[in-house]
Amino acid sequence: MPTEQVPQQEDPTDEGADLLDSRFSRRGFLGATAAVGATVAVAASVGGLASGSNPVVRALQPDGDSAADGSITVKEQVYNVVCSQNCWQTCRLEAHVRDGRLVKTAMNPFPESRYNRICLRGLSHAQWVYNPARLKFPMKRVGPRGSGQWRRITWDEAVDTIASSMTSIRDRYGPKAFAIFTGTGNYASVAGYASSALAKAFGATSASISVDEAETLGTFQVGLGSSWLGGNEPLDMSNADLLIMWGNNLTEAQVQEWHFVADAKDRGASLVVIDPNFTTTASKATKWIPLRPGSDPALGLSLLNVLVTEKLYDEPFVIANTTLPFLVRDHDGMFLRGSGGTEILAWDLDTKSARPAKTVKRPALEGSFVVNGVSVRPAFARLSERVALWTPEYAETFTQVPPADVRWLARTYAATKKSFIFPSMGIDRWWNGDMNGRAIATMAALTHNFGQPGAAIGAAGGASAFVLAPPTGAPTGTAPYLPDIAAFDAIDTGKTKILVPLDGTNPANGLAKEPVEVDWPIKAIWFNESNQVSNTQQSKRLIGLLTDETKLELVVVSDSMPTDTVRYADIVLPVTHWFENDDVVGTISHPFALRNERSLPPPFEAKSDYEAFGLVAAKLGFGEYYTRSEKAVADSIMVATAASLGATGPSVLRQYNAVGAARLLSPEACIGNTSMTFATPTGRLEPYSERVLVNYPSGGWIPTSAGVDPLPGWEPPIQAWPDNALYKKYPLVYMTEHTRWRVHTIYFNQPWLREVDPEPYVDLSRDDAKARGIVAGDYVEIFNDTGSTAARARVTGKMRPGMVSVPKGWQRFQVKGDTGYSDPTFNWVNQRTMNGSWFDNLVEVRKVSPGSSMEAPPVTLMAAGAAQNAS
Amino acid sequence: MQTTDLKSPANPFGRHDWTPYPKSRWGMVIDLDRCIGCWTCAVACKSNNDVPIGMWWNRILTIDEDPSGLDVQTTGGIDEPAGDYPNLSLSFLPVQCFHCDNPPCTEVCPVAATYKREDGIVMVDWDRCIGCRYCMIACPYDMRVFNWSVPVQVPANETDYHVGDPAKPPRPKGVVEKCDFCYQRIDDGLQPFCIEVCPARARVFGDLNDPDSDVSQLVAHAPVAQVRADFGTEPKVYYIPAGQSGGGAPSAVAPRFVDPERRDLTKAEVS
Ligand code: SF4
Ligand code: SF4
Ligand code: SF4
Repeated sequence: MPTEQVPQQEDPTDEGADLLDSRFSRRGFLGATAAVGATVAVAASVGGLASGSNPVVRALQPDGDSAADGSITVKEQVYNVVCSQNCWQTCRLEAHVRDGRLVKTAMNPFPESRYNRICLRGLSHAQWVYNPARLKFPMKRVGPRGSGQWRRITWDEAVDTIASSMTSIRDRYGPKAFAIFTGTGNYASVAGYASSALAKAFGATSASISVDEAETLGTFQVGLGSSWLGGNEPLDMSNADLLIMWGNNLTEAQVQEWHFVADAKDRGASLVVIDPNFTTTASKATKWIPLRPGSDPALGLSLLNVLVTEKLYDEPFVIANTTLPFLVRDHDGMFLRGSGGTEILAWDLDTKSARPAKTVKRPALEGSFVVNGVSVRPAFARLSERVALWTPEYAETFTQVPPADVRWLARTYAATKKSFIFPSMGIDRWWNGDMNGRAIATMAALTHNFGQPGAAIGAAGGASAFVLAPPTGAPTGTAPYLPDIAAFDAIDTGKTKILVPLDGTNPANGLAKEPVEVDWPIKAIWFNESNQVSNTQQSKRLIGLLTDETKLELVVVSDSMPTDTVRYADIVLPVTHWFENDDVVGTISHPFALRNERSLPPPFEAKSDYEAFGLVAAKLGFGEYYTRSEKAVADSIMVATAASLGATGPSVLRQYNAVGAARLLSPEACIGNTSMTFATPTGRLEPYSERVLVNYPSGGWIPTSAGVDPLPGWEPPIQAWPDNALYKKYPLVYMTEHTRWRVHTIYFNQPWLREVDPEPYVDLSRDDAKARGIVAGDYVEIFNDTGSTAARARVTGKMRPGMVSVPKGWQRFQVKGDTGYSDPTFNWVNQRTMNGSWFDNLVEVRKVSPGSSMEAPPVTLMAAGAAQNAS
Repeated sequence: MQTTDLKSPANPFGRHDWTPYPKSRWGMVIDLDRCIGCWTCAVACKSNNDVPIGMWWNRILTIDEDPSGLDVQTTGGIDEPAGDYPNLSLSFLPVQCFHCDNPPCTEVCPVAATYKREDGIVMVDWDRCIGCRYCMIACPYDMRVFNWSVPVQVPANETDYHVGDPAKPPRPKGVVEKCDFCYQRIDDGLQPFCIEVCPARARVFGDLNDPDSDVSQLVAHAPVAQVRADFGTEPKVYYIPAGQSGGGAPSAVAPRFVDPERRDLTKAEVS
């Protein structure tokens, strides 16, 4: 918190709170300490954590042996555990246990020390495992939904209630009307199997969060990696000579990947950071390129403009490996095919005729031709026509990036053989996020800046999460899937929109552009380790659906902590912390499979995800999928994984069994896209596509002839763009950034972290604060027509004027007015991307007025209190 | 799972001036080009040393960049860059007791509760400390904290349970505490806990008396600075100021540190 606004604390018991602002100035280095906000008070109020401490001083361990010199030997058990959530760093940790209790977490070496890792959150697990607010017993709601009133019940009663509701719903509406929501609260594979096996066996709707989809859809369209899919393994960033972090604040959000970038910088590499705000990562840049929020596709198009007009692309490569030499029919944008209808044609400059592209040595890239009466042009001509408009000068009117910077970056990118772009979620959380991905991947496709050490789009190559195989004996098939924003429609109206096959039968032949409304009633939900209320945009909409008891007959929430979502549960199931069960974990941030050993007994009546789903499955007659122990399922996953790896499988399995950590793919195999065969419809890189990928609801494509854009293009943000008349009323772009203090919403209740980060703040630029009479430390309301939330103002040079940011992850009971950071965001459904546009919002900010509901203090740990009452 | 034996002094509150490496002079170098202000070292310290709620032995200051070295002045809050958008800079300074070679804190202690070991570690004997807090006033760097009340820890301390190292049990009300370079780990042959956790690989620890140690090499070859060297305290924590690497020029840090393996987080032993 801003120190200048916090009154000097006189209470000597708050001595420690001084420590964030020690000064070493020439004048008065001894005094002038100001406290860091209501640190101690907040820490104490969150769940009464500070109460009940027993100040017994103890020197000796009961099982210690006393040596002759008086020193004592203390026995500690050290277990292999994994920090398993969606910061996706997935650190291998040590759990240090004395007398059966966790005393510390520590870094646990990988077989390769460059992947050794831990962070401040991972060091605080004891405060989660033993948090007084942990959910302890199954509970059943007794008050209205959302009132936080439950009574303790037995697991038997909970399981009976859930199973009989599932049966009754299946009888009346079909199995799809029961939805199992999974988030990223547990990254481990047995836990994932636990919920998916029941969903598949029962036929339940499987639903998950609609984020992180757009940018990946765009890069994948072109055929290259993205923020979380493909590219090279993270370690390889250290081999790059130019690194471009685009909308990527990895020094806070993916902290374990930073040192690879620092290693490259030590060798002399340049780091370019593209971000509207001066993030910690931007502070490390050799060049920071600030831009107007949401204008990233325009920057991409202007970079493409320079690459194309200055002929900075690798022409032989483009001819051999991309769709750009293909002839495109003027009338519908589809590729021109030969008489058999399969071979795509290119214009042969030598024979002056259209011939199968792969046989043409010198294809035309520009020009206009008529083949059998059909007017065609090479795809390259369409691309160069598209980007011609986007001169750096024209783009500047969108991006506010000086043209010289664009030219410098495009030229440097093309001239540097090892250029690595790591785009991330900052450009994903926009309506136009897929266009960002397409422009970025097209830059790499034109210059061949990928598929080699030090050159890639994205650092998820070798992602072990995608290599881990399902265990033997898993139910086959897939559960019907809905992204959350589509599932909310299903809850609300009993219908949702889906894209249907173009030919009415086979989705493999393409989808129609316009979605069709279908019946999809959802009458009950089970949120498993998924804090959906806090992780969805416009959470008030979901809260409205949950509290309207006519919509959902049953809401089950299984979690270890009293999250915002638990608050709306009819049945609460206490589940284990990761260290309390066996599992195996893979990730996208390193190529290792990691064993997670059960190192602590589950507290109270907590059960693992696997046990919880197993109990319900057994009641429904699907017990066969849950007969083995968790460890046996984990081992089966590793055996199946090893088998899928072929020749290297046995040694991988040996390493896993020996040390609990095994590299699944060799370093060479973790360099993505080396083969020049791409996962695209044409098998080539597709800067131009005739089949445009969509995620609606779960993947497919629409032909460009149906009117979808075959090229990277410009599309404005849906709301946060100056053209929007709403800008006059709500002139500030609102984002919810990820900071080091939480992973999504996890760690919201860790006292060590809350000491430094005690309450929600909103970052405001100096100009914006001044214009509104706001000074640092004021409580302000961030609002628009959809909703509002409150936070303490930080007035900072970091923020681009016109933007405000509230860190993601605070729970409603920690926020004034019982509000949430997602209340002023929108639940729009983008038909292409099925992606939440988290940052694409306009708001206004004002001081909280006296007497307003925003002045109300946070609801005192309502959920946690109730949880404790039940004990 | 494996079982490890931790050696713990018979009385963790008392004097611990015996050291297995009497010829060593322990020191630390922190590379501010790499430091991202993540607080991992700070939380690690908290967890390993059972540091009470409201106190930090190790904390991260946000500093205004000062090209003259580390004559730092903090003006804004945590994470607040210096300058005006878009002409900004941001630097962090992780601080803890500097284990000064010329420590004013030990001079003023009337009961010799704070003292310097042969290997240079400045210690506090909680059995002897009378809570007069002269050392807190004497320390020009504000590195010491005081237990004004019975220390609170989360999870709560119990008769047979506390977090962290057995050598760092809950202390009584009324004593001063501060970083002790995890002396018990050094005596067991391990590096301080904050060293093996830094995600940025910004922290290096070792023997300044060994010319070939990593810290000695950095002190000799990197543009290191001490905080307010003009105080004459001879701090044994050195900093490599930000802005020394990248942008087409190899790191100004000692060449052997360009080898990333040299930087790796390890459970490496001290010697
Ligand atoms: S929170 Fe993420 S980065 Fe931190 S220890 Fe856990 S997995 Fe690693
Ligand atoms: S752990 Fe490393 S990077 Fe993080 S604050 Fe400490 S020194 Fe800096
Ligand atoms: S930093 Fe302060 S407490 Fe530490 S040795 Fe120097 S003077 Fe003493």
